[in-house]
Amino acid sequence: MDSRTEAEFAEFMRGRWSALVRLGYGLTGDERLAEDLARAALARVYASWPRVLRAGDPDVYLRRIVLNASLGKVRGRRVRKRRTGSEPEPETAPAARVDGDRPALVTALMRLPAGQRSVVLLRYWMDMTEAQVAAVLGCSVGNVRSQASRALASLRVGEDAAEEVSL
Amino acid sequence: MSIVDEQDLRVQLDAVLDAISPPEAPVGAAARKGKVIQAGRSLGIVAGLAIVAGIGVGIPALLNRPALEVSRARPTVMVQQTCMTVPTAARGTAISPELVAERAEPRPAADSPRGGLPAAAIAAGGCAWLRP
Repeated sequence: MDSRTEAEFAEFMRGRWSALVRLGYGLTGDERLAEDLARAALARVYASWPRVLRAGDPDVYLRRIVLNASLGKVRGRRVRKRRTGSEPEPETAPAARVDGDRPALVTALMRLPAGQRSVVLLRYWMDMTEAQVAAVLGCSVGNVRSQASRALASLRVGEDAAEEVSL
Repeated sequence: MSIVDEQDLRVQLDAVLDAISPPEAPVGAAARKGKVIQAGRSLGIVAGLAIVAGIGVGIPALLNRPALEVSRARPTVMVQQTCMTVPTAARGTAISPELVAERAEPRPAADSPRGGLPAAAIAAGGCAWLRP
């Protein structure tokens, strides 16, 4: 990569970094993990930067990497948990916000299946259209619609359940 | 937490996620990791090409391997004489006993390890080694 392309990538990275970390946090509920995800995704984009630019929309590629990587991390942690029978040691330093002081919305998001969580974040936080979400997730618009609807229903039910418990 | 509708969810998500303040973008670290990934990919490509080239060269070489060289030494064959009569197929041929006697090499009994028949006896109707 020549210096001009390096500078181009650095500018792209600085422009996406914050949003990517926040997306990662919404997906994992863990700030450190979110930073790791964002860094790894950007490294992968760097590795194929000319191809990503030729493809036209680097943001779609970047978000897809973060979403897939977050699914992989979640699956990896589940597998380790099943094998050891206990909560696995975090790969990175402990997160600043752990379950106790995690915002209620993030806790509710973590209860959703990964697909629904991705749809909620892309559709309602990143304000993407259903077609754009479908393009990022590689599924149909109908699937996005149904996932969003189920996620909203789950978040409402979760809220009701939380209220019942507090009473 | 209470979510009224989609709009409310948007507002709440904004509030929660915007509260996160990520550190400075680690451009250098990402670039270094990216270079490692690139190097790994290049290595993978080179290894793949080497394997393909190895298969491309190795398999035809194995298939076109010349046959093992046949020994040029003359094999020793021992033939035992078992018949003393003219084969049935040769019975009808018009070869006179005199002609056979002329062509037949007289083999003295001393030359043959198993003895042998005199030319005259061969000519009379026994098996014979004929010279063209």
